[in-house]
Amino acid sequence: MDAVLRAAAVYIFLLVVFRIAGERTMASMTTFDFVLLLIIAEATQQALIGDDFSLTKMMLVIVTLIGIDIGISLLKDRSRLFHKVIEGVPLIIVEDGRVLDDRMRRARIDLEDVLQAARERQGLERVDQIKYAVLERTGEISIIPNTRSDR
Amino acid sequence: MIRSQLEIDADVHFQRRVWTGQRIGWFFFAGLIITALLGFFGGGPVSRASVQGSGLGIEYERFARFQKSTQIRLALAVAGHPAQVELSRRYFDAVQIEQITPEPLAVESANEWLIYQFSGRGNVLVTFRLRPQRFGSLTGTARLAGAQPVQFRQFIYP
Repeated sequence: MDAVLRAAAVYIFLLVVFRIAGERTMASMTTFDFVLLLIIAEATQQALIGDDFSLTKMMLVIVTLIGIDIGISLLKDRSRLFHKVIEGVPLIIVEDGRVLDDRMRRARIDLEDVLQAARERQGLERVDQIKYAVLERTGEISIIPNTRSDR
Repeated sequence: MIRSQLEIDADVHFQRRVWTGQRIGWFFFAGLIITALLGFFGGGPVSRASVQGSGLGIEYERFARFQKSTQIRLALAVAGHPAQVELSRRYFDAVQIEQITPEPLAVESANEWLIYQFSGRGNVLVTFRLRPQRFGSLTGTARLAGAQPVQFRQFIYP
């Protein structure tokens, strides 16, 4: 019984913590972010396994985690609100070359993040070449460039 | 039916059967989680068991897991002290004893039995914390000196 309860507690706790931390926290993987993730994994493992090394425990933990994952994905299908709470919503941060400052500030992004995405994805040079920049639910920034007809 | 000009190794019929299989699998997951919560894999209401007989009460877990700590509680209703209880060798060879509370005064080996002596007042309660070293079915026997033996059965998951 404890195997299932522990696994469920860990899943829910991590889900809540990462939602609170925000999308940008884990979006761009610097070396430090990677190390932080490893440490989190270690801390989680200790709590999940405890001192029980049986195969049965391993199977119960994994089935519980995957099971909850599947359950949540089914719930997300049924309820738009639940979907938004779990996944978040996309956010327009640049519109027609105009930077939406307070949104970017609240989302903890600066203009340089947007310009970097513009360079990486579309090879754009300046912010006025951006038609839309969107902070996606995954934390990535996607760029829609101005087409020639938009000028 | 969707006809596409795509050069693709698609097989929608197969995919539909995979989806059905997955959904059946999900029911197994749910079943597994529920039976685990009930205690069929150790811990939980279904697993707790007790057995009584001839002045000896044993509380134990019906289901336990390989190398995971489990507890056995003996309640000895004895008149004389120190209290003496005999435990089957075969069971205790299959487990690793982590702790005995209270510590026994003496342990003696006699053929197929281990004879434990405890000091105490009134009803003596002894807790053994053990880690099974084998999996499968395990039967343990305990008896007070000269009394009928009391048996308990456990299933140890791997």
